[in-house]
Amino acid sequence: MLKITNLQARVAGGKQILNGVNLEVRPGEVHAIMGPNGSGKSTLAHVLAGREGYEIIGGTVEYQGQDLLALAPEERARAGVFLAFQYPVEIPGVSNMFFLRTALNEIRRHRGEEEVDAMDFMALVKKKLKIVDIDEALLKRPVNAGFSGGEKKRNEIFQLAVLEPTLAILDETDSGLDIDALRTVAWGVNAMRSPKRAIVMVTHYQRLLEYIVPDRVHVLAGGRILRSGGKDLALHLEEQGYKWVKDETAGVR
Amino acid sequence: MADTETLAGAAQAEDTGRQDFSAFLAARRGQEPEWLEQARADAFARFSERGYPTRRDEDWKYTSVEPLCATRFAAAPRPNPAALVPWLDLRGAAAPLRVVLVNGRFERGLSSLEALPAGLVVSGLKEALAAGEEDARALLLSSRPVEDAFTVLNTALFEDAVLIRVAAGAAISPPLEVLSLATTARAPFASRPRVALALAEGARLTLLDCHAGCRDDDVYFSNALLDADLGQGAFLEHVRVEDEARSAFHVSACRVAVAGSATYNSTFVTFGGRLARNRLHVVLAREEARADLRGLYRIDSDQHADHHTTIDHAAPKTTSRELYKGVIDGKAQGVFCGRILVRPGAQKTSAEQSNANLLLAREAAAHSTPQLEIYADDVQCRHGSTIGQLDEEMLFYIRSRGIDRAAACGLLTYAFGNEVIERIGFEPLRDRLSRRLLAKTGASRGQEE
Ligand SMILES: Nc1ncnc2c1ncn2[C@@H]1O[C@H](COP(=O)(O)OP(=O)(O)O)[C@@H](O)[C@H]1O
Ligand SMILES: [Mg+2]
Repeated sequence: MLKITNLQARVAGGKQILNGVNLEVRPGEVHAIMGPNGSGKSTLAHVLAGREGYEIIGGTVEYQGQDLLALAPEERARAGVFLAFQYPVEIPGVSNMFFLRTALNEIRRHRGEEEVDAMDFMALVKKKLKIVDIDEALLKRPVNAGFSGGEKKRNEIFQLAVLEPTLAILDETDSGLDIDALRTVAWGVNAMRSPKRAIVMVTHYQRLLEYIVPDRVHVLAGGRILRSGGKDLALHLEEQGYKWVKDETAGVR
Repeated sequence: MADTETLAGAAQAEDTGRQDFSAFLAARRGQEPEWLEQARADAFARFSERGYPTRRDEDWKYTSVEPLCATRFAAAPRPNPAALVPWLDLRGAAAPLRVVLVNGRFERGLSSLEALPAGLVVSGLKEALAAGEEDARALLLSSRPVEDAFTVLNTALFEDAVLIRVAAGAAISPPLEVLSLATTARAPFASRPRVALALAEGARLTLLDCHAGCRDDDVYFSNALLDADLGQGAFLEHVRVEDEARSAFHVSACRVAVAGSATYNSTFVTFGGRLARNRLHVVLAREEARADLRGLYRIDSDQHADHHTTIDHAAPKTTSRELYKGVIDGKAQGVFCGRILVRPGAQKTSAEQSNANLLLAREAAAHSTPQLEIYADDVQCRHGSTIGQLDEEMLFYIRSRGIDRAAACGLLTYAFGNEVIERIGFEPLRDRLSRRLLAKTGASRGQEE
């Protein structure tokens, strides 16, 4: 479904951050990308979602047979790519419900499906609310405006549940959550697992992986994937910390 | 060079103007009382003395009327009213109570005034003169604190007027719409819609004051004037929608006098016109008078919208709030000048003003000038103004959910402008304006590119 080959990117006019990332994700799989702060995890997620401000210097990204990097952010979303932001953006003056219905209808329209009206959308929302356990009152408020850190993360997973993407990239969805919130969010993500959907979780801590068990774990450091393995690799990281990663990266450079 | 041309253009316009005025007076001779004829002649004399403003006038620093002076405007056409019916709901607020002015002339036949609530009286100029001249005279010509070239021009040349009175204690519901419609004509023409409104003690009214054209390439000059008197404890909710043809000139003035414990709320929404200049002058004449002014201008291509507001705190314990927002795309220019005058002795005055502008394109421009003149010491006055672009972080977030850039810009434009629109209580109008705001914008990219 997703094939990243030797991807190199830099901040526009600035320093290089991704130094040749290789990654292949198949439908139904859950991948975890772990790494120390500043290793380029968010940059990778942003480049996949099409954020401006980065320059691709080399490599390719193929998604369902298309050149993902050639698409505008909205085209990627319509093709089924979803990014749960590490820092969800506040949009004062636009209600969550209205925003999400507009997004859903854009995506449906481009798939040649019928738009959902306000009534049907409410019914859909009611169903999805159960998955994420988000306060219904939050949905009537402007997007993320004044939400707590935990509420913002839940809202991202709620959007994920409503938009039903094919490839979900979760950027540190676990950070800043207490253990109860972590459990509900993990439950929501697990509910979204399906043979047709792939999930790429970016995380700094092993903790999340106790609740969402990945098929593959990758360690990203210094802008490239240093090691890949099964879920045990995460445990290894937990015991040893990221120190060895730093040593190895230093050695490589 | 430009200034010499302006002056030459203005002088020429005045010359033809003088001939037009003589013809105008001659045609009406004998149909109007002498005091009105006299008032017209006085007004025209003052206009001739003054001439059209140039950009040397402080008040017109950012707005040139040169293209207006350079256009020859014929007398307003009289189209067949029946042909205009479809335009009324399309361009107006579709309110159940409606006054229609076509090219500045009151059309009772097109208006919906059969079931006026008790306490509300609406009449055209002729009817008002027939019913009682003194009353009409007081409404039309009671001394007003401000005049400029355009208000005197209106007084000299207005063909018709709508006079609205609300009796003491009457709370009028539903809202009253006044639709000033300009029609399509072969040559540019001038119209001078004029409305005079008096709310007696404790009276309440919502006025939906809509100015609209029919087709975007219609060229006309609407020189509109609205005078309102609010009695003790009265309340006026004034919604002004300016949706003139794209090629039209719109210069309006609203002069509002607010008595003790009375409240004047206004919401000005400006979409149309090649040139729109709206002057709003509010006098808070007695203690506890209050004004809350909001405005939104949404312009693009080569439009120019200018809002000049004055709030005159002429008595102690008066309060004003003011929020104007501009969304400016293309090469359009928005001008906001907000004057707050606190007179000597107007202690315990509270005044807040803010103007925020959103520029959607690199060549879009906003000029924002607060003018605070404070001659009392025990007052609270605050003002602020901002000019900014759409937030790229927000745009990316919205686009990452499948919404394209133009629609994302529309969504953020709506979020920005809705603070003004949401106060409009009459839902059909509010919804229509919201949809206008939400429409995809051709916003070019931010400044970073
Ligand atoms: N827009 C940017 N401008 C400048 N530096 C950036 C930008 N985005 C990321 N970086 C830098 O790139 C490196 C990787 O950042 P990031 O991808 O956010 O790491 P992670 O998510 O793994 O913590 C960091 O050193 C960060 O400071
Ligand atoms: Mg990060």
